[in-house]
Amino acid sequence: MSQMIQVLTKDQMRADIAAQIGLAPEEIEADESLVDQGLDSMQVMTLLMQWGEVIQGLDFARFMEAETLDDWWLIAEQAQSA
Amino acid sequence: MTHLPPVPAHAQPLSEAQKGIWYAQRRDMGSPVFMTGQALTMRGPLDVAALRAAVAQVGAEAECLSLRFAEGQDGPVQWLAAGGAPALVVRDLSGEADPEAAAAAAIEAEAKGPVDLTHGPVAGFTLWVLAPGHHILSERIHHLAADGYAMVLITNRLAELYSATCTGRAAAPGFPPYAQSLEAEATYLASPKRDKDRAYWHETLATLGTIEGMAAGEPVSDRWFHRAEVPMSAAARDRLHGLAAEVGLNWADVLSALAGAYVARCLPVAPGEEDLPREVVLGMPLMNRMGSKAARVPCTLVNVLPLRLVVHEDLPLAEWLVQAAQGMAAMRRHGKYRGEALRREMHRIGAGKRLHGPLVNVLPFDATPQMAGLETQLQILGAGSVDDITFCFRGDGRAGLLVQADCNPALYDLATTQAHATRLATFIEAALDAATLAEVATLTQAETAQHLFARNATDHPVPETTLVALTRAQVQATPEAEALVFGTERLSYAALDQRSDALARHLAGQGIGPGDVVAVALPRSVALIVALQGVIRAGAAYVPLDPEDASGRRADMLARANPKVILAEADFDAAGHTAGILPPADWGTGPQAAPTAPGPHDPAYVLFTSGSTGRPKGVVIEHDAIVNRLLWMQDEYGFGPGDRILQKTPATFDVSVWEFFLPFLCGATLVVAPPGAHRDPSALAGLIRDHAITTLHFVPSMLALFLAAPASHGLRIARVFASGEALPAHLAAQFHARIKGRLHNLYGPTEAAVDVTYREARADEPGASVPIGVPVWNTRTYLLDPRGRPVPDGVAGRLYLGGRQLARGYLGQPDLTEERFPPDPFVPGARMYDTGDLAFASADGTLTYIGRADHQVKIRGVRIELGEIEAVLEGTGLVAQAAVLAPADHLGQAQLVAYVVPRAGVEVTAIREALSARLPAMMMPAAIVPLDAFPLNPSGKLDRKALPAPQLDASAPARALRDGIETVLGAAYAEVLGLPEPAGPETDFFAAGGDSLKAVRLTLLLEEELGRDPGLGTLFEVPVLADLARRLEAEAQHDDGLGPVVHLSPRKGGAPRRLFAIHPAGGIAWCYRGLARALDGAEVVGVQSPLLDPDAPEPDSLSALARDYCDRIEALMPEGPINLLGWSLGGIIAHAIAAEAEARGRAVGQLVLLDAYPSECWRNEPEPDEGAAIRALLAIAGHDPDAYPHLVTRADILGFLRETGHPLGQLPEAVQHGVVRSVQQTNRLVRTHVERRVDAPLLHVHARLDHAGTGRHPQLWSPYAGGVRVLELDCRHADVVSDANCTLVAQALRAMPDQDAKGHNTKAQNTGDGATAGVDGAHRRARLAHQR
Repeated sequence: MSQMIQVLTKDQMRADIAAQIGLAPEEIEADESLVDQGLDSMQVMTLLMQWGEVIQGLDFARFMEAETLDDWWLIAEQAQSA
Repeated sequence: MTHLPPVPAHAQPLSEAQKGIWYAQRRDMGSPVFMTGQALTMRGPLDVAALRAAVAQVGAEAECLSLRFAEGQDGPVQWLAAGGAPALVVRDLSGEADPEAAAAAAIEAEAKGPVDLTHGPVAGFTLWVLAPGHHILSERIHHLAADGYAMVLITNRLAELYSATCTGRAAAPGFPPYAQSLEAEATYLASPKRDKDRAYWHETLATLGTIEGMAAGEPVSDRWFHRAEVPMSAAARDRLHGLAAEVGLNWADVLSALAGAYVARCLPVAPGEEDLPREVVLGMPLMNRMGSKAARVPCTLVNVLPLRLVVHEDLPLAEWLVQAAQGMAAMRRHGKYRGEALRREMHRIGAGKRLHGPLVNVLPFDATPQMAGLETQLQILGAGSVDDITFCFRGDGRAGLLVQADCNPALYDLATTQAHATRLATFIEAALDAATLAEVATLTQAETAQHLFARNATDHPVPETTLVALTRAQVQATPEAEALVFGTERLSYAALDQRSDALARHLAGQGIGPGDVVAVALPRSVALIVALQGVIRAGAAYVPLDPEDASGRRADMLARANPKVILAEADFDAAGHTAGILPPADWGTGPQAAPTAPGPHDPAYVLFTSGSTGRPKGVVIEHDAIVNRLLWMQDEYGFGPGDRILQKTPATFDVSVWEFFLPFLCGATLVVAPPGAHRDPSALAGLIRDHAITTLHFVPSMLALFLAAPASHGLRIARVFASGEALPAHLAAQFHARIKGRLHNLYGPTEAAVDVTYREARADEPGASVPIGVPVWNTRTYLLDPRGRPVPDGVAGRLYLGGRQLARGYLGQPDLTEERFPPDPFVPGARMYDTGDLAFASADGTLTYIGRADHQVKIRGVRIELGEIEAVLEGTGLVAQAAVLAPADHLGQAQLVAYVVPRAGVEVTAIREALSARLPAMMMPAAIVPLDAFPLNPSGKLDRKALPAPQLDASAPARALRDGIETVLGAAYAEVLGLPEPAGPETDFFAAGGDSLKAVRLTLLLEEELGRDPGLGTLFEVPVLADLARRLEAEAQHDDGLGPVVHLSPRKGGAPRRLFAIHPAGGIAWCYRGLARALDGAEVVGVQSPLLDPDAPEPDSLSALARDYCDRIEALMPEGPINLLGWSLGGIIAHAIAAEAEARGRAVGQLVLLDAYPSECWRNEPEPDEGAAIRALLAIAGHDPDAYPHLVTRADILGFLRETGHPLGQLPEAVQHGVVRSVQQTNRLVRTHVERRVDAPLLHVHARLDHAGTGRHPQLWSPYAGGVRVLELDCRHADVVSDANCTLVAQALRAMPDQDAKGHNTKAQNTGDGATAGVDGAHRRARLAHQR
């Protein structure tokens, strides 16, 4: 679970997203719209609350703008390198 | 289409989301309901400068605040106006007695103020100062520019910028550009994803049925809405999160699903679908921002999509919630597809064609913003229009959760709104702990107790006795009193008693006693009364048979009742039944025996009613039941000796029972009408007069006939009872107009001893039919859903009855008895009766009958009360009687058919025309069938089955287009719809392919053709060509140019200058039309007197009037210099407005006085008397009154104006009175007015030919203005506004220097340019000079 980890990896993000949507992690397409794959804004809030415990300063609005897991990972990567 | 206003070249089309809002707003341009608003309360030291800077900064960042909108060549367009965002306005209320209340009122008034979408601004920010350290910031943004989420973005940004200034920390970067939202939409529109989404929606909605509302009526947004809020308890919030976690869903979806389950409880059940799970179609607003470049752009993106939700009440709750959430997830995956597009593609535009029902919206995002050093609290004022009902859940669900119901006031009252909010919150709390939805009550506990018990607290002591015992007691009390009158026969109580006993002994002699049945088949006569009395005295029950009905029904009834004997004339045909016939002549001649008196629970009578299977059912009523009914009636209406009750109801109809027996319980007299008289209104009226009848009964159909007969006029009847059919409210009104007496509406089935509810019908009953009222003594009524749960007030439920009056059951039909008289679930050991009737309760428990549960009338999906159409038909005064049915046509669709008995000489076409002016198109009958008289069945009710089938011809147009508006419409429909030839009179614009865009094109085209815009709302309301033509003609008769503001020039996109032209004494501003034409490029807005409305109060002073006008003007022009013009006394008012505007800190641009002189000139002049005021109408119409000395009276002058074709002559009389009133009142106000000085200079237009020797000259204004310039015209006062002079005035106006547009005030800044212009007209000489 995300509470146990110290850094957020792309695989962890993928796993958490999959858990929210109710899919297996490998079913998440990294370059396809997360909305189309079934993620909704309430779930985004939940995910950011989880991840917010690992990384400081995740901006909800920026995640809302981004479309795919790849995009999300870019934001998370930047936030962790800052 | 050349009348379109110019728009900037860079204007862009609206997004799909905006178009939906634009068309809705266009239905009612003045409606403020599309303004979204918030109020942020701030406690603590506020840095006003920092807030002002933050508002300015947000204005620069959030481009949507600078948007402007207009109708373009190819549909509506938008553009960004440079610097068009509003600045912070500060209003200090700290001096008010109650600043909080003042702020609440001011904020509400502000929220409800109109907005000018073309000239802007489309938003506003106002800081209300309540006290030091106590402020409210109100924000409002038109929904075209921002949705709820955008409002949150903007508020949070404001808070961030403010805090940044206060703390010295830098704020994060601002918003992405507005264009990004339009680009995002364009990207989606071009993407293959859109095609996939479209396919999903078309498949999902292919089988979408008709969408029901929770309240009857069309969901067209009103100008505002009712709101009720209920917080959810902390325990419920915890349970919500707990349940969401248990079932693996998010809490928002759980809430949405449960709200849907509640909505299902409030919808009517379709006949035949009582046992199926109900489907509701919710409108789900989606933020529509995730994964989009538009996510952070303040703009309007919210997308309302339909969610088809089947409510399986018997499934385990968790299982059903998961199912529901899957539906929501699927919808979200296709959530970019616009609801507006779906509406078009699924043909869900226009009356009765909804795409979804109530809205359900979970809003976890609008958290209160944090501001440095301040304690903040956020209130959401409005979030766009409320078409029907919107359920919102606000808050994050953990710290707080507010259940909010917003309702359209046209469909729900405030109490209903409050009840929905409370009930929904209670329902959700209960559902969170339930195993299945089935076990969750619809009502709150308090409501349940109220509905089941408080409303049924009818206990009253009634002795357990019989009709026989009560009658015998009365005979003892008043043996000599007159008991019975029939023609010339009269019987005392003693005589009736004697004859009745003789028959009873005769029957007993034949072995008849309690438990036996005796048939009675006699016409109205003394013998009939004696027969009924004799049978019950013998202890038996009577079963009445119609002596004239020899059909197969009679044999069936005789077979089932199996009477021991038949009391009838000797020639009665017993249809093979073996019972002996005992004719009246033989009564008392056979063997005699002492009769056995019946007990309270022996049957008193058996009445046959028609059964749905076609075979009549025999209803068995015991003495105890009918005794309760009669003693209640005696007590409720105070019957006693001296009352004379008319017996006219056939004995086979249960109403006759109280007519037959009540008189003899209370010492009254029964007057028996001759056979057949009950069908003859004149004969009835004669009987009532001759016999001084105090009480009688009518079935409403017969009451209508009776009231239509001249003979009924002016009758006095103490009590008239109506029952047997719904009593139309208009009939009650008609009754009171014609008859002196009281009218009582009773309801009850034969199965519950005649009547179980009652209500007095007054002349002013609201609604289509008079309610059936509340239960009588010892009687219970329940309104239940198909699962036997009580329904909310206002929601249709099936009516069940309980209590003492219930029948024993159906004779010889135990199965049917068990089915229709099930156990009462609320009173152990008791039974109830299922009436099969539908009714609803109002908040006070009063019941209103709706119709039968088995054939509800729906036309194009809208529930229609046929009684309403009947009422309107009767209201036309063209028909004596009307009945509306909804038979199915050849396609199986319900069609409205109106049957009428027209008044003499009235054609059906006239009725149709009158109707189409009064009814929405969806309620227009497809056919109107004239009849000489209505067929009545033997009990006097309208015999619906005997009505002839209408001739409906769907294919061929009924007739050609009429000249005039119809022909114009025919061509316009064809042009817009792309039809090869003119549309026929029956063409429905939307059915023929019209959509919102085409509708706007049509209105524009019509504006060009007819000179006025019919309004989009009108088109939605009456899309059928002939009906629209009728509506437009009707509207033309009372031209709308009488409101407080009249736009005299077409409204222009981006026109910078507006001139407010103030009405002269007559109150109407139409005299400035010519000036408006001449002033091409400026927009002239006429300000008209409130006195034109006959109900408007008279203003106290001219200054008060000026304040009112200034409010109006500021509402239309929240910023920029105000330009004013007024002719005659209108000039004085214009000047007073200028003074008021300057006092408010507004700059006055142009102030133009057309031949007006300060009030001191009039102070000592006599006020015009009525004659002079009436003659002023001539001047108002543009004539010189002095030229028509022969026109003196009101009739002369109005006749002259009509002849000359002036619209004043066509005005309704009330408005003509208003004009005269305005002339007098304005003159009165002027005489007590004292001018204040204004800083702005004024232009005076001086009509030189009228004022020689009067001392009236332009310089009189010098003390009251910052300069006076004069335009001299060689004309008279009345001609100043003539076309030729208007050109000169317009030239002078254009030559005037513009005032400093930004300057706060043009303090004593005389226009020192010395502008002097010579203007030469062809016939007149004018001189423009700078004076002083």
